[in-house]
Amino acid sequence: MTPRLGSLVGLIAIWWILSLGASPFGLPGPPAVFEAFVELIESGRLISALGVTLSSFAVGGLLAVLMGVPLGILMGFRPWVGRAVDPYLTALYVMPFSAIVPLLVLWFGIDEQVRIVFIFLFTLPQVAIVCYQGARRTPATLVEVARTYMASERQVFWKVLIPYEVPFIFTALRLGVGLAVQGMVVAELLIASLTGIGYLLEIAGATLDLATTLAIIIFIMVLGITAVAILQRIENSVAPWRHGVTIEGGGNA
Amino acid sequence: MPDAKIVLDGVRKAYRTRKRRDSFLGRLLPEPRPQTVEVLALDDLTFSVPEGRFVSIVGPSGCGKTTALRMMDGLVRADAGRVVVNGEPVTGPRPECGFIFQDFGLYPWRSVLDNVAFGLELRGIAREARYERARANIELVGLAGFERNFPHQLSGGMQQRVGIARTLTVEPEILLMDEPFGALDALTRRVMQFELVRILQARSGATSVFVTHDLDEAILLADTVIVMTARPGRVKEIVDVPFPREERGEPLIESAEFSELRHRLWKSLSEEQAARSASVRQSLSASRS
Repeated sequence: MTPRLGSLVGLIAIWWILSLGASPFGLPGPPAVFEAFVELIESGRLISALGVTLSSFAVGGLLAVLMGVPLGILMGFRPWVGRAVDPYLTALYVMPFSAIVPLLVLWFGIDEQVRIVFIFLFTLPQVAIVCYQGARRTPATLVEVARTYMASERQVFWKVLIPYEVPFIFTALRLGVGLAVQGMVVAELLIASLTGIGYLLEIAGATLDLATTLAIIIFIMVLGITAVAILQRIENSVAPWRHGVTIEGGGNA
Repeated sequence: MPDAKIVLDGVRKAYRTRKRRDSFLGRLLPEPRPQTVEVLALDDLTFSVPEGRFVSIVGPSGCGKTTALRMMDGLVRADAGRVVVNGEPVTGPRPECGFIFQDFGLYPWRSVLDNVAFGLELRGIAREARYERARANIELVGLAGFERNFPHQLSGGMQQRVGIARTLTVEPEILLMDEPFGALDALTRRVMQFELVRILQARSGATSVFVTHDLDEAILLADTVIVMTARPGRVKEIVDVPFPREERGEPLIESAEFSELRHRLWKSLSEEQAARSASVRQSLSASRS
């Protein structure tokens, strides 16, 4: 048995044992949660909610990556851009998001638009900061080597900076997926909506249907883990050299 | 000197660093003028390297020998004086110069083959043509069979072999080497010294400048050794190495003549090292008072 499978079996076993001693309103056991999950699938509620949620998740997350990655790289490549933009990214990063929900609702309503904006704002700063760190730390020697071979600025950018940046981009993507998932659920819980995973969670919570609540949470976690694992696979095949270099910063680098 | 490949004439270079105020109060007070400390790295450095010669530069640490080398490839600008390569003043990196770095400077995401072909790739040479030339040089440095490996899979000595092959592949007329074996262990270093002798014999004709701390290496490789003074660096003496190139090898290092020359250079160098230590002590005690 692999360590991963072992830890999973152990965790489920502990959960099961704990649930046996608890009342159904305390901690539902794995069978109850599984049943709730089957019900969610069969009724089609989960799938339709997922469709709604994933579309705002995908659009918001994608926008954050599409803007955050180039922004971070540009900030590292042109230090004056970095100095100009860095404080605002930090400001966005430290801002308590639940506090600005009323503003966002005022500006963007309560439908898909506001969820997209929320996920975007939630994800953007970290994605950009990770890419910025990578581009900024490109070892001076690697740039200098290219210069001794008469590299143009363009060549330095495409043949040194960007390849060096690839692992950081992947780190940013992995980070981005996690953040976008969080942002998506938070957005749906905070912004009263009548669709989406957050709405399902709210209904389940309000009716004290703990089994369904747990089923949804576990489902979201599995989705996130899968997405991160796929990204890791892609990274390993695109940037195998990364195992040999130590890269500081950037979350799980 | 009409056949001088490289000329440094009255070169001067100072590094400026801003001095921090020492006390908390001092930092709060308005400063009339930001205090900068100027460290003179090179002052009136003058020498020339004739075509086809191999020149080693030795000097106490901090004497600016690496700075001087970097100036020859336009990586650093001189504050005053002239740096001339092939009769032209140096304003930036030049195609006829190849630079070998102490920390190798290999691209971790490129295979050995793609690292070695890098210079030609930048020049827009087609893939097959550049791989062909790269392979020949990989073989020359003794790495045949490692073309598809990545740098992190190689030892330090092998990595510098890749660095040397990469530089040779652009066929530079001038090789500028900045302590290329400085990051290697003693044994590997010795092996690489003989390897460089062998490689350069296969590629005769290049003009070489080699910066090092290691006197054995300086003598073994060079036709001429330039000893620099402690900071600010200038030429202290220029010593010709009398041994013919064919004899550069293990027996030479063991010979009495070699020891004698090494001893002479060592004395010259240790005087400068002592001068440097004295000046460091002086500046330390000055800053304390």
